[in-house]
Amino acid sequence: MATKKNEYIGTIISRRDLLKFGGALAALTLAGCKAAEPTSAPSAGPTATTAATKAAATSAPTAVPTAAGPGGPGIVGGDVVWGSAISETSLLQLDPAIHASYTTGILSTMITDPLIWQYEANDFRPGLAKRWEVSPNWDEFTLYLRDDIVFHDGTPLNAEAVKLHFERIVDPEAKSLQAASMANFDHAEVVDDYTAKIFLTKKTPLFMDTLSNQSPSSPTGWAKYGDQWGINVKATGAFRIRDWPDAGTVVFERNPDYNWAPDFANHQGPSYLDTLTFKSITDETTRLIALETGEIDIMDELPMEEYPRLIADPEFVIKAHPVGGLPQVLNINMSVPPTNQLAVRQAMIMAVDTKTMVELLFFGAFPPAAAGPFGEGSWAYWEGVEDYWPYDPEKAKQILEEAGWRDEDGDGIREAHGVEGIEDGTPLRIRHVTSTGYRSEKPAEFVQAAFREVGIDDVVEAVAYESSAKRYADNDYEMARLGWSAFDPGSAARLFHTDSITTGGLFNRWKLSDPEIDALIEAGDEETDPEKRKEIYQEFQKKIVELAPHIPIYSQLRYRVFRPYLKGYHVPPVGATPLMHEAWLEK
Amino acid sequence: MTRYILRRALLAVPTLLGVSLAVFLMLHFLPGDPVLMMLTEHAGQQAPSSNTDITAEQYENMRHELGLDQPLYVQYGRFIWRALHGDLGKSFRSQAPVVDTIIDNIPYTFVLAMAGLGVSVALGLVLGIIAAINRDTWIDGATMTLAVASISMPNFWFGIMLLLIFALQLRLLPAVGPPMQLKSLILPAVALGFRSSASVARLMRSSLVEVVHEDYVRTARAKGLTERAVILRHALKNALIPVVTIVGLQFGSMLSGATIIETVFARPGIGKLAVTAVVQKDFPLIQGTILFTAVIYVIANFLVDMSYAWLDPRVRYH
Repeated sequence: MATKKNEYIGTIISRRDLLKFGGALAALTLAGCKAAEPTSAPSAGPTATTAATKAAATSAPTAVPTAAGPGGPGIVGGDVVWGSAISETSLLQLDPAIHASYTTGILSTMITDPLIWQYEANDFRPGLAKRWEVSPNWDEFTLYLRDDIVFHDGTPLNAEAVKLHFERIVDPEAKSLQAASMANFDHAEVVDDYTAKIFLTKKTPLFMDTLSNQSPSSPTGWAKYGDQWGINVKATGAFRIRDWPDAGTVVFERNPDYNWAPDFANHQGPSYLDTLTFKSITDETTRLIALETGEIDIMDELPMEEYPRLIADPEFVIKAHPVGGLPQVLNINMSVPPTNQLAVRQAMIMAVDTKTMVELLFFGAFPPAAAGPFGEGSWAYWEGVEDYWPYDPEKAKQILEEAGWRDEDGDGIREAHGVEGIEDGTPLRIRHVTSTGYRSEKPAEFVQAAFREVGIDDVVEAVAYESSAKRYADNDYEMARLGWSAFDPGSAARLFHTDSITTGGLFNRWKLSDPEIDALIEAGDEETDPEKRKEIYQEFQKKIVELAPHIPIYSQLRYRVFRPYLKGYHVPPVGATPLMHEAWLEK
Repeated sequence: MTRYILRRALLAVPTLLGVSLAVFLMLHFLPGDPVLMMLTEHAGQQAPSSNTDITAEQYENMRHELGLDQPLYVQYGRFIWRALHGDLGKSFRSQAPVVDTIIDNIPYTFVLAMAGLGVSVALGLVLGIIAAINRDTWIDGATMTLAVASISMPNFWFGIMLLLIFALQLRLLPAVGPPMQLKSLILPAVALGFRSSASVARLMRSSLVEVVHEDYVRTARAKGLTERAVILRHALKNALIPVVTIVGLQFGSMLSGATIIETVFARPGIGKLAVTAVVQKDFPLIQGTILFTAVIYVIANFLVDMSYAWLDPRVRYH
């Protein structure tokens, strides 16, 4: 092919023309973008109604203080955008009686109120019910409701609505994911317009805790909205659903009728904020970028590697809320060799420097977990667990030596020599089945190296959730992973029950089956006196930690990061969700 | 021609049936139990059920309500029957009708894919023409190097880079603006289309270079037409034929790449929806989104085939 010069094509568009054109295009784009500052441009999606994003807000916060309660004056007006980790699909069901998701719970808390508030452990305060009575046998609960509360659709909150609320949860057609919490529910009765009575099948002292998680909604609404109820929930909260500007965003607005905040709230009346918008931003990095650009005002969680920078930056307020329940741990399987031997488990735990590991891997964002079954955030926490199994690799080696695990072939891994129940020469190898992701894999690698130092061979298998669930169910592992967030220690304690090996979510990954411990767990469920309950759980913790059950990793904290102009952020001792009707903007 | 269209339309049916069967079987044979997954994601504060036998009963009730206790062929048959009536069932997780959820999310992905395609074609054509014009010069080399570099970048990384530079550092464009606004589309469209523009550019370049040496182009020049008329009216159209193939195929990759871009830029869309559904083992939602995507593919391919006849009269279909 003759190499003809390109003069023919070249005359169509000269290089200079192209550059001029390109420059003009670039300039136009930049100009257009800068000029089109946030205005009230309506979004063009089919489901968009009025664009109610922060950008479209035209009302500047009026500096009119309201004399509204002990928290001091808040400024009325303004819109807050909350960058949430919630997924789009979870956004579609905001009824807390149906969904069971923690992230969705942050949203549904804004638009609902509980029948009873639990301010601190076992400290119950009036909510939608102004007072209540419990039968001596803890199987009949009478609720005396306030008579001045309406749902967002104007229908009244009354005993009938409460009765229907409980009946719906246990109705299979409703497919409520909360059904398990109503395990002992028998039936409900309307005593009079504002008095409802709940009957249980057996003594359930923990039902008070359950009641503090019940938020009724409008039965008229269930019928009216049918399939669309999840995105049109009408309840009693300080905020109500206004609209959905796009499939990943929901806008809540002030409920002007709201006047039944709990007694511990800093502000009693309706919210200061005009709107509270939740935007689904599942990627952590994007969420942080949006917070830094000012497109959102508050966000959930944070990328751990950013923690040191953010905590030192006055442009960001970071709140960390401890979570009760079982911290993140690596459960050791007590039912299979070699980990069924106490000496092996002790050595495994003492080989790992949890403190260094957590500082290294989590940049100081999460504290190291304690050795026992409950995290420090739990009201039943027993400090005695801190005396068990400290980091001491030399001691670990010694324990293994004395138990008959010696490395005689020089490969760095110990083998059994005269260990009961294990053939001589068997290497000390454990398989760690865990989930994928940084928070599982990195600790696993650290532990693997730590084990190597004391002569234990550790095979890490990081697999998808379903595969790991199968391995746990088949008892085909020596070490697992688990964390369990729960306010009530009984919920975390139940993980160690024999029943939890084969029923429910099969969470007893320690495969612990000890009738004495089972009895303690059951006693804790039955006990009604908080002091006695605490004692039971102290003993429980002692018995558990003595078994050297797991390697502690980190204690979970729920993080919130927001800008300093957002005031009035108040989270009650129980839980990790702020009462956003108390918040206001000072810009 | 009509016969061809009819035949293609009929062929779509077994294709879609095959896809739906494959997805259905995969879902049911992969490890993981959707009911267990649903019941084990729990709210932070919940009283334990002290009687775990009841939990097992609730588990069975839930399975029954979701129809998971029926034999597989019954479940599949039901799914197909309902799908033909426009009912794709309800999401396990939210109880929202799947059809509604998909319809709500289609426009965002469609707009994003179109914008990405636009960036890919515009950038690719411009780069390809520039490279062809300046064939064998440093401009040619630079353009083609840029093309290769763009393919080597993972698009989520590129997306985050764009966010960091244009949204965070320069504050020129929003990071998470309203998804249908033009400003919010620019960065995601570039992130999505930049990679694909590479293939378009290379193909445009080689195609144009080849076409320019054809006899009919020489004839057109000999007839005295201006260079502009020669290229734009005669050469370009034929040079575009292979490019059209690529572009049609790229619409498919736009749809799948959209998933990552939608996640990085916090945009709603089918891609993200499908991935979330898979992670949550939400069977009806998974089946619905995949079936829908298959339909889109079939239609897109069909349209690409049809466009050949317009572009190249030599092509005839039987």
